[in-house]
Amino acid sequence: MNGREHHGFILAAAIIPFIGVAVAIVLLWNKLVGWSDMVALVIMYSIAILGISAGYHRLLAHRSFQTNRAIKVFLVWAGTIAGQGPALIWTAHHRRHHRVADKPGDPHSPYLDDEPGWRGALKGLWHSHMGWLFDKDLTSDPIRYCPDLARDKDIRFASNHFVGIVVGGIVFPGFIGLAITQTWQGFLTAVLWGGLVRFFLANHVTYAVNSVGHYFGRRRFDTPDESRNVAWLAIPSFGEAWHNNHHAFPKAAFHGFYWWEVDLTAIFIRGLETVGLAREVVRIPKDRIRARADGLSRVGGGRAAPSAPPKPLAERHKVSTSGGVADVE
Amino acid sequence: MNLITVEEVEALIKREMRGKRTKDVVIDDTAVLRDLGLSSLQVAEIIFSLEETHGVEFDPEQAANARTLGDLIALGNAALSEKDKVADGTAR
Repeated sequence: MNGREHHGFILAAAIIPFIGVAVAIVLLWNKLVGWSDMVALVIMYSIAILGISAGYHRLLAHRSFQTNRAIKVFLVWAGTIAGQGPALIWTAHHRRHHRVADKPGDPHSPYLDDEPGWRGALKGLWHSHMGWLFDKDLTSDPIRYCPDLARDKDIRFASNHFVGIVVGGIVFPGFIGLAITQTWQGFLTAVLWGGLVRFFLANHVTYAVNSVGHYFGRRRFDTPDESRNVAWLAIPSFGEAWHNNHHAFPKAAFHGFYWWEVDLTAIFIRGLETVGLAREVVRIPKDRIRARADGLSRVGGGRAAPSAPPKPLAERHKVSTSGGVADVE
Repeated sequence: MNLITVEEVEALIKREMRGKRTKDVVIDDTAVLRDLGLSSLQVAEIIFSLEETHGVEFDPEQAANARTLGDLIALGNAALSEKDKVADGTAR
């Protein structure tokens, strides 16, 4: 994909699913939506989010567990279906995000700091949510950030056939609808719900981890970034929204650290481990978690946790995403 | 020793571009990788395909910094000759 096609894809990925939602609402009004569509939506949403969370994120980007080739290929394809970019590009951006989280060079920090006050805050949130995807000059070279993954032929294959797999993931739910309803109308409405509406919902949930997850929520750990735990987002994101936990212990396979921190991806990985399909699952000992959390609880954690670095938003300078050179602090 | 040639890499580049390459671009040692219009993903595909066919590992940091096609080929061939020395037992 060249630069122009890339931009075209990002634009299409932003607009077409949105039109899909609008059309879906109109159809709902005419009672043209049935439980087969909801089945297609739930199945495809789970596949896409699990592909991103367990596949792209925990298996590839952080290597927080190992699995066999079949499960790896399934998870990489499932992540590709989500339409958030080829595996190698997604993981390159993500590893770079961890290296310089909320500092210059971070591909999607909400602390863009164009201007002070509400306007600047909203601009930053938009940038971290989707705006950064439109930055033509932003590249995270897979050769530099994830040569380990690029050496894997299966991961390269899925990355090179990105658009085809994404389109396949939009058409596939149609067959779920067709199987249940035995009608072509059922096929089409299932494509709409399991394909486009799912695309829209799953992507905004992931984007929200990057925007909301660095802005609103509780802090348990004193990480050198603004990551936060967002309880309400944890369920739709399958556990990805325990984002402060994740930045404190990036290699941990489980992002929920306590029983009340619901992490569906952790349940999935634990399930794989139980049946012998996952090994070397990275676990963080409870005493290490407690010791690390103690550091912040002394100065007060939670929703009112101090920002790190401790500097008011309005006083920051513009953060550039093009270079890796620090121009603040 | 089976060295990496410009022709071989040219064939890989053409495969990646699928005929979309602008005609006025000349592919030789001095061709600047960025100017060829290859995406970072396509460059990765070329480098790691070369690794597989030649059974050699590029240094990722140096490969990412390679500016021209010649730089890249030199890097691969240096790694290849190093590998051969080890195989011959002549490595220091």
